[in-house]
Amino acid sequence: MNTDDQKCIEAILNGDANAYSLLVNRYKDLVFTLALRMMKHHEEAEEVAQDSFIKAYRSLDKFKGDSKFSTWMYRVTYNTCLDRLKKNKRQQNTVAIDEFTEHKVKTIDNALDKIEKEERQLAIKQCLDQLSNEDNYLLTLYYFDELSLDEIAEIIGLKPNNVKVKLFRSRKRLATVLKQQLDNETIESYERTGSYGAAFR
Amino acid sequence: MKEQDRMEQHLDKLTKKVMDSSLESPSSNFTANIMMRLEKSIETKTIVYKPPITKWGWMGIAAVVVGIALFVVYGNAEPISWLENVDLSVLSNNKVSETVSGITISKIVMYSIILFGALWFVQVQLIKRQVEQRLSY
Repeated sequence: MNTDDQKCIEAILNGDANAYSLLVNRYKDLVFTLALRMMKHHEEAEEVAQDSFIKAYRSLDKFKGDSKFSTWMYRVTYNTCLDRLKKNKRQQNTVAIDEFTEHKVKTIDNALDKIEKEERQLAIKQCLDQLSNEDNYLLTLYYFDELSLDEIAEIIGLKPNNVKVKLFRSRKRLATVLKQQLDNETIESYERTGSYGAAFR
Repeated sequence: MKEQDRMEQHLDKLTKKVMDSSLESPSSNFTANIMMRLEKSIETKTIVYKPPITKWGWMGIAAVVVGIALFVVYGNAEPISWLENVDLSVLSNNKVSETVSGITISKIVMYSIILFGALWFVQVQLIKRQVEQRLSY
């Protein structure tokens, strides 16, 4: 475990509750991002993120320190999100997986690079909104915080091999949705002319 | 490198690009809200679980039961005079007792009730352990 985190936790358990604000500030962005991926609603994600930190504080004495505090925190966040989703009885989105070739993936990648930054952010946001909660959470943990398969497996309660397969499928679904999000016609134009800008002439 | 492996490499790169660009931040008073909620919960008195019958209570009940049992077995055979003045016939001569006296419970039903009760207590412990495990790591 990170030494700074360890020192903070020791201080909190010794009665210095204010030391918890250091941990909150350190992990709030990622916890909130994870919650937002699962809940897909800004206010609800903020509530869930706050509830997760409160739950973690109350259970700090149960944290054994065998792993990183962040991994434990993500697990608490994941479970809090699941509880809230069950309560709201949210339905999951199911996205079919397209088959991709190296060329197709490169084309989507290049098309994404060529569009304006704001439009790109919007396309990405809309794409992530269409993915299921679990796909979003997995991809964020793996690519954002660069957690290992073993750590992710511990967080979501699956075996590492299952996580590997799920990640592979999540990536394909992401590419499928991204392809749909970026105008199909535009991607084909880019393919033909090699330039995104040419599609608008 | 095989086509499939190259495709997966590019897919990995594309996904990283998409996920990297999107770290979100909560509201500016996020941390302050959490610390305020924690302060409030620390200030209010913590409700500690108190069992309905304490350990001493159970010991007292056991002592009374053992005392009565010993009295019944070894006590003098003469009836206690003040007890004779108490009219306990109301316990058997009332509408509820008359209605209930006609009801018989089969052994199967009785065993089922006892088994169900035992299972209920076991489930409570299992659920409690499950909730604690969800918060520990």
